[in-house]
Amino acid sequence: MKIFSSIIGLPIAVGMAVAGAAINAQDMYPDRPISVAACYPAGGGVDRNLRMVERVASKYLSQSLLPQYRTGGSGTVAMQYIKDADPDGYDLAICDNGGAIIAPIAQGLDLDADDFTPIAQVSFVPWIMTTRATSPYDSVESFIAAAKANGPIAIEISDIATSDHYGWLLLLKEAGLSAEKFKWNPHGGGGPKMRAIIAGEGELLFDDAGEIEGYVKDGTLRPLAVASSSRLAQFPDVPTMQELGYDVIAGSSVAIYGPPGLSDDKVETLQAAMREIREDPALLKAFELTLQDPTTFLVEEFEPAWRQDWANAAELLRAALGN
Amino acid sequence: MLEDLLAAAVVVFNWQTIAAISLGTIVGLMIGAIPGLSATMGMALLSPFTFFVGPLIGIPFLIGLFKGGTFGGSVSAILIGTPGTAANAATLLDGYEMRKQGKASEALMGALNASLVGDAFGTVALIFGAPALALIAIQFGPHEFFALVLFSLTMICYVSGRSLAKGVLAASLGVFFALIGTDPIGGTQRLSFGLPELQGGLNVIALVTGLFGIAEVLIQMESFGRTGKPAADSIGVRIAGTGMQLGAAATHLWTIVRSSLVGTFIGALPGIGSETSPWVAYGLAKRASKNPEKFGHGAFEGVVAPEAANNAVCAAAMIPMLVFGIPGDIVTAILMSALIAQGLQPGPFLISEHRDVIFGLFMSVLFATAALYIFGRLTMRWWIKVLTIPRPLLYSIVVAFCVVGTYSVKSSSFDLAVMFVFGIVGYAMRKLDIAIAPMLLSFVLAKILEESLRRGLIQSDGNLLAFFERPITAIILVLTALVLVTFGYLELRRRRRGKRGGNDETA
Repeated sequence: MKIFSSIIGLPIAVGMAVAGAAINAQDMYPDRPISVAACYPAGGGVDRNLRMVERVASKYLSQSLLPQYRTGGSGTVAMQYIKDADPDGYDLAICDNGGAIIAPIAQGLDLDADDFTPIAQVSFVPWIMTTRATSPYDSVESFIAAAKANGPIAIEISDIATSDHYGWLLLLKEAGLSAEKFKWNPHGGGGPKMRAIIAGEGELLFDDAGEIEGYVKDGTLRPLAVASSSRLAQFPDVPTMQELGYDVIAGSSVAIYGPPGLSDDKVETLQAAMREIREDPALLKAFELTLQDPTTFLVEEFEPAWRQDWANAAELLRAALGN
Repeated sequence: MLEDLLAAAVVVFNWQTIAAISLGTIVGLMIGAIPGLSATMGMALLSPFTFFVGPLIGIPFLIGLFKGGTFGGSVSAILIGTPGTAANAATLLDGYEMRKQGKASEALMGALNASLVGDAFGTVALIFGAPALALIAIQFGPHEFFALVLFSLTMICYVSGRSLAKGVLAASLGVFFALIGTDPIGGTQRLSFGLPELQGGLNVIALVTGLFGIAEVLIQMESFGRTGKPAADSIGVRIAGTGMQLGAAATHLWTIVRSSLVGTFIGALPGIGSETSPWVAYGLAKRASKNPEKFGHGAFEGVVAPEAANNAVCAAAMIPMLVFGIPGDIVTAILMSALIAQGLQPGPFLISEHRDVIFGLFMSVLFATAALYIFGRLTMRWWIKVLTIPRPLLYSIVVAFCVVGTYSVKSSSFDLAVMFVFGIVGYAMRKLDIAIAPMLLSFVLAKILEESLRRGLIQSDGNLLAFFERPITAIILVLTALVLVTFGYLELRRRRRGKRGGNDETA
């Protein structure tokens, strides 16, 4: 991409810079392409969201978005980069909450909510608390009762201090359970975690609707509750945790961030464009194909949720990591 | 099944799909042949474009790219001593020696024929054996991975060159370099000296490009002053007829078939196929060979074994992804993402609910095998032309490609520094006659070995016996012990004989 974008992008950028200077000497933001650093390699979910937005963005921003890849450190490389970037509005980052909130805490990095300017959440995919259909837990209540009554229950997680682990910790806190009541099995990723469940080596996990849908249909898995504010179209009979009395909203949230100190009018320009992007038919079509919920595309509503997540995650994960 | 395939063949046999496969294969061949640029990266960059075309155009394109890239990597391994990707590093051991002996076209044709057979094996396994192989693959948890990686590490015996002691030294260095970065379980920093660039560990592309590419350029530079001539040793070499080439491949048919089976089986396990199977295939070929001493000095089997194995991985790696929705590596994750973007969620119902699309996909995987052979064959004469470029110019281009390729992985200039440092390390190792292969092999495998051991121990509450209680793990561990014992026995016998004959160091 570097090669292609520099070959194609350089003359365009130069041309635009010259033209821009001639037509309008005042600061018209944006007057050149905005680079967006993706925190994971091309080809994954974050990249997919970036490409869906990028494809329609130039219609509403008068400039294009230039995808860049600053990967590594479980997503924190891009977040560190954007924290230190010049707040001129030409450098943004896109990452999920795993890289933007959870990994910085897990790695003990000197970052917090104020080090970034949240622009918009492109998508949110909630966790679904799921068991093997053969397990004794047929509801969240029976699971919590069992945990209260007897010894450690094994839970399969992607890794210690990852986004699904955090979801469990939120639930346990709401239920007044201590994390010591559980045996956390870290698998090193969502794929290996699912493998252990299908092979019958574990029975409890948080995963998203796309991953579990087939296994629910074939009777291997049983969804118990969704960690979102409303029920999912794929599983209309599965209650939300809020309905059950546990205020847990957790999942994978892919969002766009700017550097700290980005001026209010630039934030407003970007957010105005985001509000139009989320209505764009091409974007909606892409969301439909990938089973993403367009109502989770949040603009100004995103910042409070982001701050709340930082506060909760910092408290729960630091306790879980023992520091 | 067969009706489905035939019906799918009709659907896929249209100009768009065929053009997509052909274009993918050609792009893959080029990207793969450039050191540092891998098919993985090409797929990652081009996959978003497939979101906006039909599933039987975009995904066949990616598959063509994957297969083309996997073979393309062997071209640069053979011609300029720099593997295009880590998966082709084993091909270099004998392929580059063959090219130095003026047998470049034999090596390339051997690699292509072996890739064809390996590819066909993997594809047939995907089409007919996916559910069964997936059921085995799903049993591979951390314990099984630990055993398999341990087994693969015994291949160090076979890639250590003249001195096993030096090979073990190189392997230990590889483990040391693999330790740099974030601890895979606890997340603590190791040997990163507070440098954020080291937190993710050393980039394997930078390491491979440095150890082989830059080091080879340094070696070549030594003689630039003396001969400014082209890599003349292979000018005038003509590409032998297909018949003769197939004949050469046929005499090594069993090696190719064994390697294809290794590639198919290991490839079907999520995650470790392309980096492990070529080495295992190489080691097993050397072990079974009547002339093991030829390995490392231009043995034809040393080229065909890893190439059959790494291309068999291409199709086999899709099995756990399609059947269970579990991608093992970046390549399958990209393919899965491309499928999801088309509304095709991998998992237990993918094949039954989208039968026409999936069989179309299978058919296009088969077409891609043919495309690989056709375009590999057609471009062969151009690849050979690389050797007519004057060496100072050729190796300047190699350096340029190494820099561009390595930089493009993560846009990191730190990786460039890593590449040059390992270029010097590789040069020093060559001068000291220390084999580089064991270092790369252990670098790649040490991470998986550590992670699977520790995860296995966490799951079995620290009980080491769990590794022997699980049947698959126990079998692989016994095999590992057998390989070590027989190797030790044969080595001892060889030395005794050598002593008696008084020519210990000639083997």
